[in-house]
Amino acid sequence: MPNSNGNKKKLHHPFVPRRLRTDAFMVWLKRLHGWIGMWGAIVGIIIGITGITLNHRATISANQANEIQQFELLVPEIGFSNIAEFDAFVSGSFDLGVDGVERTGRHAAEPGAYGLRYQTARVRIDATFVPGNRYLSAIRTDFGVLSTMNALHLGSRSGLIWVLVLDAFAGSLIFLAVTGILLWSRLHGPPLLALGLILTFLSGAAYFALCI
Amino acid sequence: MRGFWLKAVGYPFVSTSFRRSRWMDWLRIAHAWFGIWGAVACLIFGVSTILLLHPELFPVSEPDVTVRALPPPDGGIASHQDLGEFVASEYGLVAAATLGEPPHRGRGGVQETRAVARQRPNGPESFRAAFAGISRTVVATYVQGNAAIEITDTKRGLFHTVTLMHLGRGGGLGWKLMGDLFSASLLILAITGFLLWNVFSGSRGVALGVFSIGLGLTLYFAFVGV
Repeated sequence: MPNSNGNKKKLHHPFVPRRLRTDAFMVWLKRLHGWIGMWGAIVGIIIGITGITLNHRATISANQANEIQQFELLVPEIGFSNIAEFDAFVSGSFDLGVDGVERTGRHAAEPGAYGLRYQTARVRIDATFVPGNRYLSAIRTDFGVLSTMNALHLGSRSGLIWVLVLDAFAGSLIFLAVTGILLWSRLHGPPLLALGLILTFLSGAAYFALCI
Repeated sequence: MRGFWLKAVGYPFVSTSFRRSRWMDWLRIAHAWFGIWGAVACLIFGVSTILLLHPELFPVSEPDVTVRALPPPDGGIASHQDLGEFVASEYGLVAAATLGEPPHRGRGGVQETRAVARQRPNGPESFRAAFAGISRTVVATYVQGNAAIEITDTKRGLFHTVTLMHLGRGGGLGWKLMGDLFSASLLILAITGFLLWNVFSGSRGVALGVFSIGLGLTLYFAFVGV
């Protein structure tokens, strides 16, 4: 696209290569930055808050208030013939879905003994059963808001789809960083100062990484 | 054309009076400055997030650990401090490293700086000094009467270093503060970015739709299952 006022645009977007400094490209860049940013805004808030709580996990995130309850469930008289039946019974009792709940098996020392741990970002249930017993014991831990948010930040006990959301968020961060630099204009401040700030962080990171 | 940032196309998420005030410029400028400051952090944390989430695809290489001997100085070593200073000067280790006992595992990345002798009641005196960085850790041990100081020098690869940076392990208080500032920047960027949404990019309804998808997914995974 012919560029009639190239000088002004040069002033406005110093980090965009001259050839790309067209209205069409800049509008397209700004739209993408806007859309991807809007998508990640809520995830960014959660990651931002828990970034601080996890960074100081020894002081802030330790000793979280979690609610722990013990349950005794009357098991069917015939017991369980396999782990799938045990799973179905426990899942039914606690109304657990099939998707999004991480299940971890436990080693059983004798035939007919079963153990499963169910986890989501918010809840953990440890259920165990040994043959001959009338009751199955289960310990349910309801994590507090901060523990839940920390788990979401870490992608732990939160399922494959959430991990994909985090992947997309990580990709968005990279994309937003690059397009954000390109979208810098003189209206935001002097480009030399902006470049200085980028280099400050870069050298700071390199210093702390290689400080000894 | 005064540049499209100033085109009065409309900002659906801020009130008309706010839009016309000088605060609108400040919103834009804050978003830009926090963004440009955090751009490098976005790259570091973005890449390391993918590395950390998929260890099966990106296995972290084992650190390169070397054990070597270092002859003690002529004056001998009388304290942890002596050992630390001598090793630091021999290897050119500088500030931000931690002097004292080696960092304890599983302590949430907090580098302990206590220098406490751990020795048997009647055994010879022994000294330790540890320099814990992100890409490299040096631990020195010297037992009084020994011919040499034992040096354990651990060097980590780039991937490993980047993931430790993400976790805030090593690097001391300075890097922790940079991590905090980046986290705070994410919050500021999310909020100012939302307010800066411009109908240039799409209507308010569609923007709220995309925003709600992010919100809905988050709530679903926070409260799914039980």
